[in-house]
Amino acid sequence: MSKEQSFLDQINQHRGILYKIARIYVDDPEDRADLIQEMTYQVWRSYDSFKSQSLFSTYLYRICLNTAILSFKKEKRRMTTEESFYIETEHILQDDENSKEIQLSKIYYAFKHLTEIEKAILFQYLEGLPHSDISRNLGLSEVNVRVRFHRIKEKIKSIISKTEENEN
Amino acid sequence: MKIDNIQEIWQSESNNQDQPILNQLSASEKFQNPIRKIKRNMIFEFVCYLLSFFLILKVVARNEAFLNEKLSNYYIVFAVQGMVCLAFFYQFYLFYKTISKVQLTTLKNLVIFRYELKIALHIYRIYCYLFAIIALPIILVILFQIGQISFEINNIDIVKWLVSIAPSGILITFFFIFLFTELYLYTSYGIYIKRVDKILKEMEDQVDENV
Repeated sequence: MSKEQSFLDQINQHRGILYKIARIYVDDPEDRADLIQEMTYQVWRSYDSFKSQSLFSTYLYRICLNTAILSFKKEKRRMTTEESFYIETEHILQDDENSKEIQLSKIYYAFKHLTEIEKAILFQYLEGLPHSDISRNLGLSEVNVRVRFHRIKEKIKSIISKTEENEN
Repeated sequence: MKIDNIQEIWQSESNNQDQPILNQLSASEKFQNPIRKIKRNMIFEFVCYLLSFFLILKVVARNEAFLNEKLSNYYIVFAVQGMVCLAFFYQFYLFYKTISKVQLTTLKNLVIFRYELKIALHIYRIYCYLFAIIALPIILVILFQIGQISFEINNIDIVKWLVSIAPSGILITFFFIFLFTELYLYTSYGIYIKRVDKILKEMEDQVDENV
């Protein structure tokens, strides 16, 4: 199997990571495909430096998150967080209000209120990464990650409860 | 929805519905990392410099103001300017090589990138002003040569005219050079420093570690 094919196989096994990161960092669905392409390219570019002793997914988190945080694009008019929430949920039927998809949309909506680094911390926590990996991926101390995460949790709690209050 | 349930909901999201990633291992045109954009800017600048170098050389050599003995003086000035530019471009080449090796995947690399970019920006600033200061007399001579014809037609005392407008003319010229240089440096490089600064500031944000 060629190096390229083995890379694509590994990427596709973990494509959920790329799709989720793109959804967190970019509002416009069309732009997400471009961000996914850019992340794939950056991972491919540094693929030689990937040591198979470590998990491919751990390596993927680090490269993709840093690419998403630092990527620049020509700015379109930014969607407001409310608009993006509407787009995320408009295809979901009203009677499915408590469906998993609605709940997921609420989580993505809450992400929009966080800063770039906060998004990266919360995302890795939700993916089940330990604090030590989160700190290594972002170059922060473990204590720093813990403290930030405590704040993010409070922020998320208040955003979600506000969303639910508005719905009622 | 409770905060503790979020992780459970999140992890239950299946990626089976996501489209497989195809064999597109090229960079995105829309999303670009700062290093790629800066490298592209630098190549563009170098091409522009080479084109303008030969263009000015040809245009000025044909101008009457520099004919005969004046032309050799001009070539000396131009050669000096060329050497100064080469020295600067060597520095830019070193910067280009350094950032080519950096991958923005860690905080350490981000700090290195910012440091290199800051130094390069200062070199660029000196280069732009120096280039403008050297180019200014050459441009003035050409303009003077063009203007001389109308002075002769309208019977105007050139020296009086020059003394009256030179200070304000030089000030206005320098103001525009300053404006153009700063605007160009900001849009080509400063904007990336600002962005990187914002991320670094957020990462280095002092948190009370006793919480």
